[in-house]
Amino acid sequence: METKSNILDSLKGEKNPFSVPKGYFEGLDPMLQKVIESKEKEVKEVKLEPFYSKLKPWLGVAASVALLVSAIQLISSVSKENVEQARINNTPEEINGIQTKILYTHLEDESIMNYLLSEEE
Amino acid sequence: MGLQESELTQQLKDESTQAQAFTILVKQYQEQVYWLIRKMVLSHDDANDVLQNTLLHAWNGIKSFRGDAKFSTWLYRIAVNETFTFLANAELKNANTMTDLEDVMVQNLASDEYFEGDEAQIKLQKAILSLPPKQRMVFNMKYFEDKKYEEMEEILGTSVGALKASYHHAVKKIENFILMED
Repeated sequence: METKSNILDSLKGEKNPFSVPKGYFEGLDPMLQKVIESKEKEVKEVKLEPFYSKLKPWLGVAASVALLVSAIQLISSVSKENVEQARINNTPEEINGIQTKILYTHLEDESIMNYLLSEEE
Repeated sequence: MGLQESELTQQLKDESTQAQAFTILVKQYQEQVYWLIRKMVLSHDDANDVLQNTLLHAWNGIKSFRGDAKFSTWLYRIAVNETFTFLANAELKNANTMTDLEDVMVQNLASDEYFEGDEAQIKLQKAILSLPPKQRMVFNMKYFEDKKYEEMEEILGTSVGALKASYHHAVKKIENFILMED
């Protein structure tokens, strides 16, 4: 019969009941390599971060400026294009009309009202 | 002849040599560390995951290794922390079920293809699982790995006196558990 004093001693002498898949310890190299590479990748990402984070606020400003410039260019190119197109297809009077029309689109309502009122007088 | 541990730990401080030194040092201890983890979590797959996390944390925290302790002690300490973290998470995941985590672990062990123990060995594992995790770690380190109390003190941060008392009580509990099961 087993007694308190020999239970653990008898079990200790037995073969390790746990086992691992064949070649497990020999195959740990790729895992270790992966671990090392993960940090190298992380360091590269960390190094990039300050540069990006410094640039980030300016990207917003640059985007706004670019949008504004594009909008102005678009309006002026549409105007120029209309005039150029009219020069090819329309008469001088019509060209003048188109130019006036384009000019009006840039005028504020108040200015137009003032102009019309002054003509009536 | 290979490099001495002191030379390798010096190389860990130099970025140009630390990866190679780390690889050599880890290869020396990975098997022992694996078995420490495995005896705590029991399943091979879980032990493999915890070992991977241990190596990942060791490598990411390599700058914190000052060399005043042995590399193996430092690596063991990380492995112990990772193991406790794993067990705490497993406990949380199991909280919603009606079965205790320890019972689940024993059930899984009986059907584990990488466990070849007989009934007596399963009973021993069941008895060890009845201990709280830290006392289980103390028992495993002494009983299975025959570690010196001084080294265990460095790894676990517990005094030699407390470790001796903990191991002594663990042995008593396990013996009583096994006798009661018979």
